[in-house]
Amino acid sequence: MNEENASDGELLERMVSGDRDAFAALYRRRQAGVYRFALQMSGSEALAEDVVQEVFLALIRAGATYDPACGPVTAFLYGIARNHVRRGMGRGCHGSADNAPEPLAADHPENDLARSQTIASVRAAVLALPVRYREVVVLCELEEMDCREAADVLGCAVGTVKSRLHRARRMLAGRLLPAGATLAVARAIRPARCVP
Amino acid sequence: MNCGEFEALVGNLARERGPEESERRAATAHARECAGCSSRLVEERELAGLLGLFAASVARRAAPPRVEAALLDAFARQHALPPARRRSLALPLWALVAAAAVTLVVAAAWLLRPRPVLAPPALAESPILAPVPVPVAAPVAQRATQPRRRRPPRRELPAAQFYPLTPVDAGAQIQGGTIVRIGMPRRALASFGWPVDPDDSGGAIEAEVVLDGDTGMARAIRFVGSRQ
Repeated sequence: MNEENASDGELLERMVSGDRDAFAALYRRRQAGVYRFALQMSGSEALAEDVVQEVFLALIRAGATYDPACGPVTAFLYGIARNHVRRGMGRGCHGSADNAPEPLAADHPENDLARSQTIASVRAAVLALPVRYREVVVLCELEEMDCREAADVLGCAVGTVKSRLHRARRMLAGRLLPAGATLAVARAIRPARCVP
Repeated sequence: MNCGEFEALVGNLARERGPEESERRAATAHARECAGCSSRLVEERELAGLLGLFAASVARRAAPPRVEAALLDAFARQHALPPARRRSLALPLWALVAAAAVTLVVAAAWLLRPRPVLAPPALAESPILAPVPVPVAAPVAQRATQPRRRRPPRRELPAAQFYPLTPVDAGAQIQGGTIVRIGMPRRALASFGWPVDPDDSGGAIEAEVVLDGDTGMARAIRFVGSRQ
């Protein structure tokens, strides 16, 4: 059976019945998002790796308990990840700032230093947000979920996500935009994902 | 559109997602007329750009391959288990029920255990008396030849008095120990020197026995009443 065209729910159903390929396909489809969520929430690669492992181990052990009526598979996975991230941060496994940005192409070497500094300042500002605001920024701004998906993950109302997101944006603007250098860099550098 | 309505839309407007075309046109028109909202739109666009830059820096990040290898091993181990073993991992309900039952039994045994009496006031108030010599009840053979007569009322048991089961000094009182309540046949009263009507020797009575706190030996007994 073709794993690429199967939905997450179909893959999970097959995985529960012992289909290894279905599990592998579901893992490869979703692990990066879970990893980035944990990385951006905690700032720790080690914790992010642990979280991915724990999330998919939980899926292996308790995938049969997934109820489609409670939300999509992604919400199930991110919900588990969220619990592990909070637990890991509670143990002090965060803040090591070992999530250095990956090297960029050297087509504009004059921008590399400024870009790295800007990314570092944005990362620090996101990590400085209270957890409930950081979660909506990571899910909605960085992982580009809509408010409905984020509400499924967080187990709250869509309105709560919107109000937290609005508040979080104002907090980030207050931290990032008054700095003239940062603003100048932001104007000078177009985000990589916006490049056509 | 007023400034409040604009503020509700400005986040999605800056990120070019969300508002419908009519709302977008209205918001853009408002921003042209309102300097404050215009600067808010600029600010939101700059913030969106910064966040987009940060998101792009980690866009290709993923868990290392060793995680996938470990998870596939775990998946193979999980599904290599026999069905009964998998059930026990997935649904340990029987273990919870067994643990709850054991807990209940232990709690009940603890609650119903005999309580030690450090200084029982009943003992202090009722000194142990020497056994009272009483006549032995009439033999059954004699009764068979006699006409039936009305049964005499039962003699009341001296419930407040303890009778010593071991030699004690005159006037001595038991100062400690444990009291346990027991049931015994009524006819056993005869062995304590108490009269027993042969017609009424059936049934059971309740008694309280004082156990020595050190040795556990029975030191005294008193009769509480008939057992129902």
